[in-house]
Amino acid sequence: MRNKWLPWLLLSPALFLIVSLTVYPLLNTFFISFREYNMYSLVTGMSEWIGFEHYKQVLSDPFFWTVLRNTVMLGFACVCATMLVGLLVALLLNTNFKGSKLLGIVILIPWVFPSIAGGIVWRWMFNDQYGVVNYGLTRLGLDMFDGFAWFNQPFTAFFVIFLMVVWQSFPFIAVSLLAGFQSISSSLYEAAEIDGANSWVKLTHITLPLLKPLLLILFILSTIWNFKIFDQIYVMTEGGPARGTYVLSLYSWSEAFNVLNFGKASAIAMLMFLVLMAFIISYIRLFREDKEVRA
Amino acid sequence: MKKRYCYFGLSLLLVFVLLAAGCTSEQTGGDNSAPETNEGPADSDSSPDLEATLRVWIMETGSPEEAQAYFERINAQFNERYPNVQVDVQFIPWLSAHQNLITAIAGGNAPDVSELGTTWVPEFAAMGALLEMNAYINDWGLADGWVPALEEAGTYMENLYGIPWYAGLRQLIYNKDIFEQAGVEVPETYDELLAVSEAIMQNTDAYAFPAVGISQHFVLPMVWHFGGELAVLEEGDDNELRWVSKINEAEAVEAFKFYTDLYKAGYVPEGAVNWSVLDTRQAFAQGDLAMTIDVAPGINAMINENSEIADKIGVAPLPSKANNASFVGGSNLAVFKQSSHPELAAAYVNVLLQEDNIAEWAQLTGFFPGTLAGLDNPVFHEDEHLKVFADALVHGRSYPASPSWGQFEGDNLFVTAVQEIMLGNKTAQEALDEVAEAMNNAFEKE
Repeated sequence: MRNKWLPWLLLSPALFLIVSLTVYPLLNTFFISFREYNMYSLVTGMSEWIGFEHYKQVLSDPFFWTVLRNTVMLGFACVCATMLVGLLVALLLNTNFKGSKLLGIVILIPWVFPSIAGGIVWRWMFNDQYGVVNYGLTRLGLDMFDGFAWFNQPFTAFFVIFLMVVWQSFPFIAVSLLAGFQSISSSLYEAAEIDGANSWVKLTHITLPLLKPLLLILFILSTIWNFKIFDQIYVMTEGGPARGTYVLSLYSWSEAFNVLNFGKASAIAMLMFLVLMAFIISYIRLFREDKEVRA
Repeated sequence: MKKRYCYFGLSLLLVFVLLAAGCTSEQTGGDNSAPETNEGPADSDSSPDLEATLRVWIMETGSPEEAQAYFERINAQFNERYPNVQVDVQFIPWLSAHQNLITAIAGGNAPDVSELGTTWVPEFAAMGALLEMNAYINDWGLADGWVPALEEAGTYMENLYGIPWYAGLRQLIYNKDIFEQAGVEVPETYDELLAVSEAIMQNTDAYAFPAVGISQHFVLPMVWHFGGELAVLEEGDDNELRWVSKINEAEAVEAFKFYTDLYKAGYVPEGAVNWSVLDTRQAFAQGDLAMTIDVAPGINAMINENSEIADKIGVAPLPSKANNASFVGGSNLAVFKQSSHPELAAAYVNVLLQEDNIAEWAQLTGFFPGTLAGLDNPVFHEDEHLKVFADALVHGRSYPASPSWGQFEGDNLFVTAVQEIMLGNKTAQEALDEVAEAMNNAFEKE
C-alpha cells in the first residue's frame, strides 16, 4: 500500500510541467474569452465578465467567416497536397534506385529550413519585378507573367503560400512513410506477386491498409500544423493585400498584440481550437469505422 | 527497495529545488530592488552610494558593436555619479519590442527605462505603465528644448511621458540622372509632381513615384498637405476631450484619391500594392524608380544595395499644397512606474540627453536628436542631404497622440484602405468612411 503514492510522486515533475505549460494557458484563454480584457486589464489585472459577448461579436462578423473559410480551405489543401507529395516521394525513394540515399537526405533540406527564412526567400522568388519565378516563366514564353503581381490578389497569394507550406512539410511525411514502408514484411508482397498483383494493387491492398495507424497520425499532425500556419503568411504577405490572406492564427494574434483586445483574440483562438478538434475527431472516426467494418 | 525509493525521493527533491531556484532567481532579476530599502522617501533613492541594478531596454540598431560601445561609455559616465549602480542594457529587436514590453508590464516585470516608438507612448501612458516626467524635465531645464513633433508625440493628457530622444522624418529623394534625362526639375507642388511624373514616364525607362500599398507614412502626411487632419481633439457631451477622426472629410479623401490615382496611372508597377518601403528602396537603388520618399538612413541602405547610385541621389523637401509637413517619427525614452528606482532611472535618461551624447547616438542611428540643443550640432547642417532633413524636422508633425494609434498601425488600418482603393474594391470615400468608423470606435473606448 505504501506504493500508492509513488507513481504520482514520480509523475509529478512531468505533470507540473504539463499543467503549467499546457493546461493553465488553455484554461486561461478559455476564461479570458468571456471577459472584456484589454490593455488596461494588463496593468490593473481587472477585467469585466461579459459572457458570450465576444463570441456573438465574432460569429456575427462576416470577416470572421471569410477568415475561417480561408483557413479551412488553405489548411485542407495543404494537408492533401502534403500527404500526396509525401507519399509519391516516399514511393520513389522506396524503389532504391542509385542515389536514392542521397536524395533522401537532400529532400530533408526544406524541412530543416527555418520557416521565417524560407518565407523571405519565397517572397523574393515571387517578387513581381525582380523575382526568379516571373523571370523563368517569361523566358518560357509566358509573357503574361512579366511583372505579374502574385501578392495582389488573395487567390494567387494563397497559391504561393500553399506551395511554400507544401514544400516545407512534405519531407517529414515522406520520411515517415518511407520508414513505414520498410517495416512491412516483404513476404507479403512476394505472396501477392505470386497471385499476380500489380504495383497499384500492392499499394492499395497491402501498403496503405497496413500503414493506416501511421497515416492517421500523419494526417492529424499535418492538420494541426497546417491549420495554425502563421510565420509563413506573416513573413510573405502579413495578411495582405487588404487583409485578404488572413487566417485564424494571424487574426487572433493581431487582435491580441496589435489591437490589444485579448478577450476577442481568446474567443477566436477557442473557435480555432474547436474547428481543429472537429477535424481531428472526424479523422479518427473515419479511420476507426473502417477498422470495425473489417473486423 | 527502501533505498531506491530514497534515491527517487532525493532526485525529485533536487528537481523541485532547481525549479524553485529558477523561479526565485527570475523574480529577483525582475524586481531588482535591494530588499526592504524602499520604505524611505524617494530622495534616498538618489544618494550616490546606493546599490542597485537598473534595467534599460534599447532597440537594436544596424550596428550592434557600436551601440554596445556607446552604452559602455554612457554607463561609465553614469557610474561616475552612482558608482554602485549596475546598469544592464538590453538590446531588443523592433519587431518584437511591443509584444515584449506588453508581456513585461503584465508580468510586473517592466524595465526601469525603455526606448519606445513614438506611437506607443500614449498607449502605455493610458495603461498607467509610465511615469510622468514633468517635474524632472523642469529640473533639467529642458521644458522647452524639444523638437516639437516629438514632444507632442510624447505627451498624453497634457503631461510628458515620453522624453524625445531621436527623430526620423521622410523627405523626397530623387535620381538626378533620370530627372536630367526627362528634362524636369524637382517638383515643389503636387501639380508639378503630376507633370514631372508624366514626363518621366514618357521619356525614361524608370517608374516615377512610389505610390505603394504598404506605406501609410507616404499617404497620411499628404492628408495634412491637402489641408486635412487625421483626427482632432474635441470636447464631447460629457465635457471630456476625445479624439474624433477627420479622415473621411473632403481634404483627406482628396489626398488618398490623389495618392492612389498615382498608382492607377501606372507611375509604379502593378505589384506595388504590396510594396513596402524596402521594395521602393530596392527599386530606387536599381535606378528603376525616379523618386522615392525615405528617411535619411534609407539613403545609406540604397547605397549599400548599389554603390553606383551614390552620386545620383538628390534630396528635396516634400511637395507642398496647403503645407508640406513631414511626419516625424522616432523614439522616446520612458521610465516605467514599476521601476523601483525612478530617481535613478530619470538620472540615467538625463545622461542620455546630454548634448554630445544625444547627438552622437543620433548620428550612430542615422537619425536626428530629439532636443533642439542636440540638433544644433553642426554635423546635421554641414552635409547637403542631412541639412534638408534637419531643416524640415522642426516643422514636422506627429500623428494624433491617442492610445489607440499604435493599434491602427499594427492592425494595418490605413494600409488596408489604401490597398482596397488601389485594387478598385472600394472608392476612397467608402474605404475612408470605414476607417473613420473604426477609429471613432477605438477612440470612444479610450
